[in-house]
Amino acid sequence: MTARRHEDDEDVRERLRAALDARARLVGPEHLRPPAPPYAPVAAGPHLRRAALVLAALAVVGATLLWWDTRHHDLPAAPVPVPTVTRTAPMPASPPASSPSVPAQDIPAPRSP
Amino acid sequence: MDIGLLYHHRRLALIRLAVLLVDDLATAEDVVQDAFTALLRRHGHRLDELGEPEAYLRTSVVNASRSVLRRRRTARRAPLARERPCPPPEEYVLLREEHREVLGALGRLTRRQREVLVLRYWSHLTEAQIAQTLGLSRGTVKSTASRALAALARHLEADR
Repeated sequence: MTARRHEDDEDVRERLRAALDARARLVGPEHLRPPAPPYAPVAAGPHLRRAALVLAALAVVGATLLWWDTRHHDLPAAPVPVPTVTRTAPMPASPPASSPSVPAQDIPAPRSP
Repeated sequence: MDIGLLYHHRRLALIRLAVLLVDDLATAEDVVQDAFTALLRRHGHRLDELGEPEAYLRTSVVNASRSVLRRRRTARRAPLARERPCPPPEEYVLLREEHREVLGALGRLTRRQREVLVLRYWSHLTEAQIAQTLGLSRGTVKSTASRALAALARHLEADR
């Protein structure tokens, strides 16, 4: 009886091993997504380093150009005074009657006595 | 050992282990990827300080697979969930009938029984290693394996 049971157990184990193996083998490397190792960002280091170098070089060039521009332009030493507007009496809309609105050549010369 | 080497050499085996636990390739790949990411985040590239990185990964995969199964169970209990059980994966058509029967019976065991059997008969771990992976005592592993095999035999007998 015990020997029979042992045989049955062994049979179940064998069937289990075979089934698990067959199921696992259905998953082959060709079925997997392309490997995306968690350390991929580090693997891409050379590219990142190159990009960082280019950016740094651009920053240096930009700073140099800015400095050059500042040095070689006659920038005012002090701020230009802004003309102040003073309040004056409002100008009349039309010139007063006594004002010489008539051209000078049209005014008759005073007669001599 | 470097994590890159470990990834290239053990990724497939760990995905297969996860497939046997969650029965779904896409989920299994996610589980394994998460396990490697967690390992990298926690221990960096050099794994010298970690005694057995593979055992660590195996435990991560088993724990993550458990979480997946728990979420699935919760989803099935949700009122809007489908009443019918999920159909088996389409790869099953490639399996022989006898293997399908065994895997079907395996799917009816408890989660812990399934884990113990997969780790014992596919990963070929010792009882001590299974105990370490699952956080159980050796005695519990032994008794669980014995009951699981008996239950599997009963299911197979009933299916005939």
